[in-house]
Amino acid sequence: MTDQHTPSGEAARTGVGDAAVESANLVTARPRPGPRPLLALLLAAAVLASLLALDAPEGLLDRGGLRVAGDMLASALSPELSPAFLAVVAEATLLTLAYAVAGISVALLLGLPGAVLVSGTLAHRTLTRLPLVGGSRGVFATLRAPHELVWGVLFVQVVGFHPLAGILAIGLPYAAIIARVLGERLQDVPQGPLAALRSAGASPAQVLWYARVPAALPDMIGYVLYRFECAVRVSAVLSVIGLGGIGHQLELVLYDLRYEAMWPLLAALVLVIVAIDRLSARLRRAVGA
Amino acid sequence: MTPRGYTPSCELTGVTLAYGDVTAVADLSLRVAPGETVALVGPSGAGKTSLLRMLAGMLPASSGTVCLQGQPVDGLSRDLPRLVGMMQQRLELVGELAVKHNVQAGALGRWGVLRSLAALLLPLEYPPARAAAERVGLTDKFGVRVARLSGGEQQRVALARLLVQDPAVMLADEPVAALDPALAEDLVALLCALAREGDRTLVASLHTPELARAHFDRLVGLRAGQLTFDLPSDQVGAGDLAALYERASPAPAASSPSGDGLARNAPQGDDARR
Repeated sequence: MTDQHTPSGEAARTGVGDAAVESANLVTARPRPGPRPLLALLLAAAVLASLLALDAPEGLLDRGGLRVAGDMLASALSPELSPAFLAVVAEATLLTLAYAVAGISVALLLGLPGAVLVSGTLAHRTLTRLPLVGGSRGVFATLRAPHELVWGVLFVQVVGFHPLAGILAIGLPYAAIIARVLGERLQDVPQGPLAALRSAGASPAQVLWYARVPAALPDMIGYVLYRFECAVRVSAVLSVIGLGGIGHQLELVLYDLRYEAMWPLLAALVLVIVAIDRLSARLRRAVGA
Repeated sequence: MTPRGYTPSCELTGVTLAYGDVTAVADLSLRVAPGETVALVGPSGAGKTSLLRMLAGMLPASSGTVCLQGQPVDGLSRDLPRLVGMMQQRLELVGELAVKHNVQAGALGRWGVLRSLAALLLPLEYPPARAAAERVGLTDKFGVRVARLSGGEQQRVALARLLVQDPAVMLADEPVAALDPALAEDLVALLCALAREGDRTLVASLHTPELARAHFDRLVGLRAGQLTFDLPSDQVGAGDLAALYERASPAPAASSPSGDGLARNAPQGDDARR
């Protein structure tokens, strides 16, 4: 902000025209040596202050905690790999994946039409666009404000410990996030091709399909799969609200201090996340990223 | 050259276009007969693009009237795509889509949403799109994504899209600005041939007067938003062109025509990117 202020102030003083202001901006709007070291000091002080403000009676790391961490790491050398336990791991992983897939499906079902709504690309009259875009943005902002786990607690109250609670806990807030982010992706595409299609007679819906979606698709796929990854992570901790899966098994083995059994569960989670990442890269390449 | 008693394909009457304090086109009048090929020549900033965009109905004139086939463009919104189509300087293709879909997009004005979706998502073929791709020499690239094509090939995609749109008046803004001289010659020849085959009117802006003189019926010199000359191409003299480009090339042009063209091309490429 200061970068913009100074040159126009100079221009005003010397009384030169608009073009001169523009060129002055081009010349002086560069990073200057200035208050940067001060900023860094302030940030460092803020970090230190917040660490001190944390109420940790025995310091940030106490001795007992360190010993437990050591035990956990040592157990990694002899992980629990009995067929019976691996079967448990596989079942828990599948359950976690199932919640994530169902959740992201609900999210896409609501979120993709939501994205088109939020982008306002189908309403060509300002009079219809403003309330439509404003209204849908408001609804989606409300839906995504509470965390997935908060939604989970609410849905458990309504439907009990039913898988539906987990699916909706992921699906609803994710639909809202997907609508907002993908809505913006649909807006932020190169404008030239849109205008060219419009002048060839294309309607807003045709422009959406022939120019906006193709241009935004690689990003959209990448974002949806990133959200799927997030859904897997959330679904792995849905055990907090009494739903099974990797998180539930982790809870059980940690309760029994069976650290060696913790590792296969974590490894399964890592495998799933890496697999999604690979899938995302492959799909994005297929559509032309 | 221009018979009397016809309805002009394009007609500008006393047209002025101003952006704030800057006047891009100043009180300009021009008539183009049906089937005529007209090249707009002149230095960068002469108002060529503005004039074409007003003819395409993409930019309203500040004052004066712009008519296509006798009707004012601003009242033609629904029918406009059938009357006029424009190849823009930066082509504005959808790089992520195949040649096939970019070319088909020329038909969107005639298609409903369902038909256009089916054409995009199902492996259907729209014969006019195939024919247009063949005509511009892109038969073997029909299924290739546009972003993978060379500049010259992309130019042909934009041309094929315009053919599928099939307007009565074809406009082209610097269709060869990004091409090397040999490709530029080919493309201008193709553009003019396609216009003549379909009895279409063609108005194109060009930076190279030599190309314009060789292929177009008529040359219109534009400078600072005003006409400097308007002549059949065989009557355009070296003096007309020298006056037109005076500021752009202050040194008297003593070199050969081809060397002259190259010398002019270099700074113009910079202008186009700005």
